[in-house]
Amino acid sequence: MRKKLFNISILFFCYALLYLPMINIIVYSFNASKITSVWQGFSFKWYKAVLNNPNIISGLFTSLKLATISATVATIIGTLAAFALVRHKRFKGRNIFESMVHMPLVMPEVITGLSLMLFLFWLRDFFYLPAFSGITPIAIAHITLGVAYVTVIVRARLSDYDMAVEEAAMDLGAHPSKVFFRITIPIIAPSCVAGWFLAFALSLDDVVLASFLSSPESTTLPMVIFSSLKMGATPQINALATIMIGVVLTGVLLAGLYMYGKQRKAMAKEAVL
Amino acid sequence: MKLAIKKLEPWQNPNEEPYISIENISKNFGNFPAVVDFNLEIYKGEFFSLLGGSGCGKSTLLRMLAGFEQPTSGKIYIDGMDMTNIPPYERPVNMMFQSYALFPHMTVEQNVAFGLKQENMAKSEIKDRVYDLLDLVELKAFAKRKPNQLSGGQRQRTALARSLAKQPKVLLLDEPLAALDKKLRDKTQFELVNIQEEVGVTFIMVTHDQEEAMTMSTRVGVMEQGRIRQVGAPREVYEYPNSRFSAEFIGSINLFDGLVVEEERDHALVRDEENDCTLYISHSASVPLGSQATVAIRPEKVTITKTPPKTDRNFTKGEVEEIAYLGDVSIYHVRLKSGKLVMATVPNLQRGAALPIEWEEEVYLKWNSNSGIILTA
Repeated sequence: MRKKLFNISILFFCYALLYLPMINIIVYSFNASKITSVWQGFSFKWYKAVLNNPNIISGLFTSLKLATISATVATIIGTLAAFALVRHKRFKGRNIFESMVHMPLVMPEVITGLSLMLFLFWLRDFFYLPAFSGITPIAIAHITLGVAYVTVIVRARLSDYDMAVEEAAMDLGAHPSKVFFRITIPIIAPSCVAGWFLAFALSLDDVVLASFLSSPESTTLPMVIFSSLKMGATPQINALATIMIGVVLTGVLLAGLYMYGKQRKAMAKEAVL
Repeated sequence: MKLAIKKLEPWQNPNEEPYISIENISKNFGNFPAVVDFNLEIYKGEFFSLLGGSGCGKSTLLRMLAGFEQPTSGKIYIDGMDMTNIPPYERPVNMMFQSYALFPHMTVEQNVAFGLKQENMAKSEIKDRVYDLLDLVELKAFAKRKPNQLSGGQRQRTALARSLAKQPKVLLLDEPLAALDKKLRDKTQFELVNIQEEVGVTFIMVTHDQEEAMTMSTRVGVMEQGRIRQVGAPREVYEYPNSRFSAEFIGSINLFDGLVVEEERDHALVRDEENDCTLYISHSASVPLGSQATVAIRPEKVTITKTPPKTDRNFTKGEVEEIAYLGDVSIYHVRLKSGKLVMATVPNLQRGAALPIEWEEEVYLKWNSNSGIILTA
């Protein structure tokens, strides 16, 4: 009995550590007071303020655009890299290629960001190349990071994938291009989608790389939040965080419902037979 | 009736045209010769097995028939047409893979229908054909399941149905039973033979399991190092091995090396000095007097007894070292004076009978003059 009590208290303690801060944010986002730690009645005014704050809104759109572009490009490159690594066991420079693909996983982001920033300066100063402007530098950095994650995920799927499946499709009369679109792509698609979401999430919440590479016209949402915190936390941030938590929770919930429905449908089909 | 069909033996008929001709096929992987100057003719409706250990080139040969590998040299003809440079998706040949290679994202029904869809067949026609096949392999109730919801045996049958869907001229089977457990394998062997007789498709199977090859095939080809060593009906290959290799590869065998001391049209005498044993064989050795020869005798043709035989031929003497009790038979391992081990199989005809011969007993091993076979290769 005593042991059970101990287990439960540990459980509550850990969950409290994880979720109390979030609950705190949600509750205080509805606070009428300007001071984040004093409760002065219920209000929606910080939500209004967030939605009317041009910095936050433009930051949000910059971030979404950036995350979509970099996740998509990273998924394409990462999938190709995974194919190269799994399907071609021997080519010149394979080992170097493999470690370079994985390098961004272990490289501190500070180094990646700083080196890319200096490199872009160098390009500009020595070659008089027009400096990459807008979101391009951050996109390059996010793609680099995203490629590493996508490669790892897609590669795992590809390695336990039975190559004979493709031969079987060809044997049954499918042309190689058809095999690729009807067999290979559908089988690896879930891992590509997972990789895309991971790259998207990485890009969406990155502060370190963005702080080296963002320019006034390309301030991402995390940068907006981060810089506004320098001048003290405002309840607007609470409201913004609550909105973000809400969006994520809804997404997870919808995905869960979709999977559940699919499973139910499959079971119903089985029952009919 | 089935027996009568099998008795046709088209390879015995000189007027019969071969259905599949493999002519001087060689395949090198880098410097490694996987298949060497290979020739084989297979007839329509046969169940042919390529039998060999791992790395003997049997799978490479099968993959060349399917079109997944290009031969380095030589030609392959199927039903009179040159298939050598035809890609796999245009060959009238289908393959059943060892791993089954089912499409994991499709149901059983979709798996079986895949090949037919490539032919732009009408939807209703495809459905009819798929359900006929699922009926044949008894999988109708599982049509809507995905491969990961099936048992090993069900997956195997799905793969079979899928590979038969296009009514291929030839079905290639790559170790079709290797992934099943022993009991299911024995059952499936006969099912597979029945299905083959029902659909009438020519089957070519690759296997390393000699029992499987013997049970199912009309003919067996024994392979070693990219070459074929012997082709023949299972009984022929077992009773009349043409070389040391095929004698040792199929079943167990006792081999006696000696010199041919008498050579006539109807018999030969081989003297094994090392084991002090004279072997009288009731067929000619077809080699000159005094040359080296090996006499092969299957363990079940060796009789084990405690009383010394009355002749001076076709027996030897040793001490029982090991008795392996297998249920239906016991295998006696007898050590000769020279150190050579000879095996004798004794059927266990009576329940509870005391062992007639015990460990470490001195015994005589004897055999008939038509039991031994002279190997010169």
